Amino acid sequence: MLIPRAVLLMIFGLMPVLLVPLIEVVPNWLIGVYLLAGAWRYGAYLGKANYPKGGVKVVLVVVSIGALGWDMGSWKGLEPMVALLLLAFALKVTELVTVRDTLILILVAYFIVAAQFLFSQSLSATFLGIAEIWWITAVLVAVNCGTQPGLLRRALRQSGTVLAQAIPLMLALFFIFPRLDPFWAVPLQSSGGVTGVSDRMNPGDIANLSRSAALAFRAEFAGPIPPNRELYWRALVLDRQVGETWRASMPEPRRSLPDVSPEIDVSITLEPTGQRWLPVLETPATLSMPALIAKSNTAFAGADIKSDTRYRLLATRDDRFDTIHPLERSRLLQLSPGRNPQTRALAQQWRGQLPSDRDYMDAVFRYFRVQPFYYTLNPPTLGANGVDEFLFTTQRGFCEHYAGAFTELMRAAGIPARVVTGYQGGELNPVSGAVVVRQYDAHAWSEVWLEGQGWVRVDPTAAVAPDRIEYGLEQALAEEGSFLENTPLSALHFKNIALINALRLRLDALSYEWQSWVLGFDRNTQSTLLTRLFQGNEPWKYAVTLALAWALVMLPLAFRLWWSERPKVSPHDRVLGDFLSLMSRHGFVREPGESLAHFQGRIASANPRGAKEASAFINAYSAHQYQPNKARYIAASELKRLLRECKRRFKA
Amino acid sequence: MLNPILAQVHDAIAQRLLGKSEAIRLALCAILARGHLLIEDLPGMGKTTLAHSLAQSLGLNYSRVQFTSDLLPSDILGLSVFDARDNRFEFHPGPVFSQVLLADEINRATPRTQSALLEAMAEGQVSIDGETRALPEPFFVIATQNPSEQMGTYPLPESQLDRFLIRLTLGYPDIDSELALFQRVVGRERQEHPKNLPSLTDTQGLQTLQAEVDRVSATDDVLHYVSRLVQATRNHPNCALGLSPRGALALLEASKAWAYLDGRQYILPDDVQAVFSAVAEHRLVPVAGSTTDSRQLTRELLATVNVLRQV
Repeated sequence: MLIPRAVLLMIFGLMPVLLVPLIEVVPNWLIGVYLLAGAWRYGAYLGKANYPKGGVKVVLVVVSIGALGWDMGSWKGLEPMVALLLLAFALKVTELVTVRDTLILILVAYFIVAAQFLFSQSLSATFLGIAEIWWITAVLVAVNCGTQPGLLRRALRQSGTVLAQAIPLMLALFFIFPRLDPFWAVPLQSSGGVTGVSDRMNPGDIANLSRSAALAFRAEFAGPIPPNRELYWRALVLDRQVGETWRASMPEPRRSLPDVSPEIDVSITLEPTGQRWLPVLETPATLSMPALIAKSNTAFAGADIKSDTRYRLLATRDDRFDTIHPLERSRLLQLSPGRNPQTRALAQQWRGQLPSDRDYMDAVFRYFRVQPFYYTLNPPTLGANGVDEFLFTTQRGFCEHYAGAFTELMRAAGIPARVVTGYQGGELNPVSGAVVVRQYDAHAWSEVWLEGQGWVRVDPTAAVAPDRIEYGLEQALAEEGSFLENTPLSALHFKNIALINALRLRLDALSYEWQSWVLGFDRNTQSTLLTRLFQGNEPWKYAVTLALAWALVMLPLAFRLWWSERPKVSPHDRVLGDFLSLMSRHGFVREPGESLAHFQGRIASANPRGAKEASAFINAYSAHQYQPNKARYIAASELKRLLRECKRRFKA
Repeated sequence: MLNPILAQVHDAIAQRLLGKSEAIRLALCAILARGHLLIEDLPGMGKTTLAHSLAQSLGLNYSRVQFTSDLLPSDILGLSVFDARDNRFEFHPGPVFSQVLLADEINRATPRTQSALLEAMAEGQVSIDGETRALPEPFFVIATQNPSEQMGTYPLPESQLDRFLIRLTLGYPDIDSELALFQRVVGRERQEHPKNLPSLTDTQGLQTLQAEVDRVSATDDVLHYVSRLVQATRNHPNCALGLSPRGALALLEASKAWAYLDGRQYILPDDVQAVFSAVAEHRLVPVAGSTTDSRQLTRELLATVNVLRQV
């Protein structure tokens, strides 16, 4: 059976819809394959091209799979498999002739949609997926309908109906279906999988990161939201200098804090980073997920963060738990040897002139403020003695330059110091009430150990560009105009247009709700919900309740079905039915084609005893049923009375 | 039979056609329902007798045409003849210009002649030489035919068969009737029967009767039953051609007449069943190659289609 023309068009429409959402995952030349496959099939439809013959097909498959393997480098992981699926879809289109081919194609299409969710589960991806499934199901409907006018509209409507009917089931499964661990896992190969601040900081790294408006995480405070200048989200502490690079050392686990009353209560939804660090504030006390809290007041997950992760953080501003070992002290003074002689000399000199560490720190801070330092996203490239160059020559830099130089100045003067990277500030979305932190909020600052005071946070960037800390990066770079200059169409550029900004915030809030309520509905949430619903987590309660709920939903439906399908019988006909069954119990079964008069005659000749009553009944019924101008209305009760007499007579 | 005139007509015919009460009633039905009647049987079964007695006893003027294979349309319809005296054509009406046309052995004539009857039967008028002439009221065709398997016949086409309200067959008489017939001719009950039956009513009387039949009505139950029967003819796997809406209406008309013959002003399912075979058999066309003929078909439909609504 050949496929209708409309179905072919629908499949042509389906091709880009399947390819485009995955285009970042698969090689770009698949676009060409898709165009070619579509064109080929269209040519065949026009009669200008032949369907590929057996040999051509083999060549196509071998060549394209070979190209795929060569391009992807390895067959391991998910991406090559998804690419293979997409390739198979395109190649199948070229030989699409029969309904059976279409069914195979549809099956593959469903698979591809499912595969899309492996890479993105955002709200927009979900809507896209639903739309795709709607379309695919419409193709399925259409191919089974055959050629007829208005096929597309009909197929879309029916497909929509089917999907709408599936919603309750989907919800039920979403809430109650056990979240099982996968039986096997395919690693995601994504090379660009690591985002956010990393465990080593070169000059220029954070500036690069700050060109992205991608979401880093969202934070929802249980109490009042601290002002922007206090929002120093700590990700990593970098305390080793190797060349010009600051690196993190292995985190040392910290013992749990003695009783403190954490004043900060915040729920953080972290986008996948491909790394382990978890952003925290101040001194983290507890995290709601299994995590290592390091002595350096940072936190790490047990594994790389590959999917949206939500956790609740309790933290305190209390810094009396900070300690420093003598051994550690020497580590915190380490500097890569033989570099930046000018800087180190200056540090020695100033420290010698000033009475205390504090004074020295203030002096350095003042230096940054007074000297014509310029805060820029496009700092010049620095050479081997980067800090010297930066401090005395270029004086242009991004936060990592300031934090790095400041830390170096501290250490050179014999004051333990370290670089902290993470994020600073964020944008409060008034719709969702969450603080949205993006990659351009990435930041680096310093921490200095002052005897008697513990670790003191010093942000030299604040000395150079106070706007950065108070109002965020956009304000700080207003003059330079380099804020998100690579993405001129980002909605973030149009904040001053009220409508666009409101829309942007609304979308962000929606996406956050989606993340926290739908994607955040994991096994723990599910078990909490179910435990609350079922007063405990015994499986039998579960089963019984589910069965009851199912019955509660289905019984009214079944009843309605039965009620609407039940034959509509008038009261008279019902009495007649009773009469006929009475007769059949006494051996008189009316044949379908037998009229009542004939039936009456048969009874009369076979059973003269009950004939009178039976005749009376049949006459009365016939008179009611067949006489148009009823001389006498015969009520159903009258018929019942006659029926009772028949019963009495026949029983005797 | 409630109506005395009809009872007399029936009895008078029954005197000549012994043991065929059912056929006589069906014939009366056709006339009361203003339909045409087709009597089909082997030679010598009394077809012509029935036709004659019907026309005579109802007091209708009638003409009889013996159809042969060389009969021409003008032999039935009439023709214009040049009158030399008046120097003009004068129309000589054919036998069709009478109240009852007895078309004997209609299937012996060629299709051309058969179809000459078509307009007359359907519309009660004939067109000759471009002029339309109305036929007298009432106008019936009572046709007889031999079963079409006989030699030298031209089977009537479906369209023409459909014009006949009722087709009935007489069949062999039963033993008693046949004995009684013998008695009359040579036995103890030998008597002279007049050649013609006296007319028991006239045109006026017949039209009154027809008007009364028109008043017979039916409830929805009966109409549903008729509808079920008709649907069944259309859906039956062995039935190539089911009843047309005209056929269905014919079934109702015949049922009305049958109910009236029974003295009722309303139709019972029994009436429908009584006339169903006579109305439907010649209209149904069994599927080519199936072993069932239309008689078996109607019998099967009557047995399987439920008389009552599903209770």
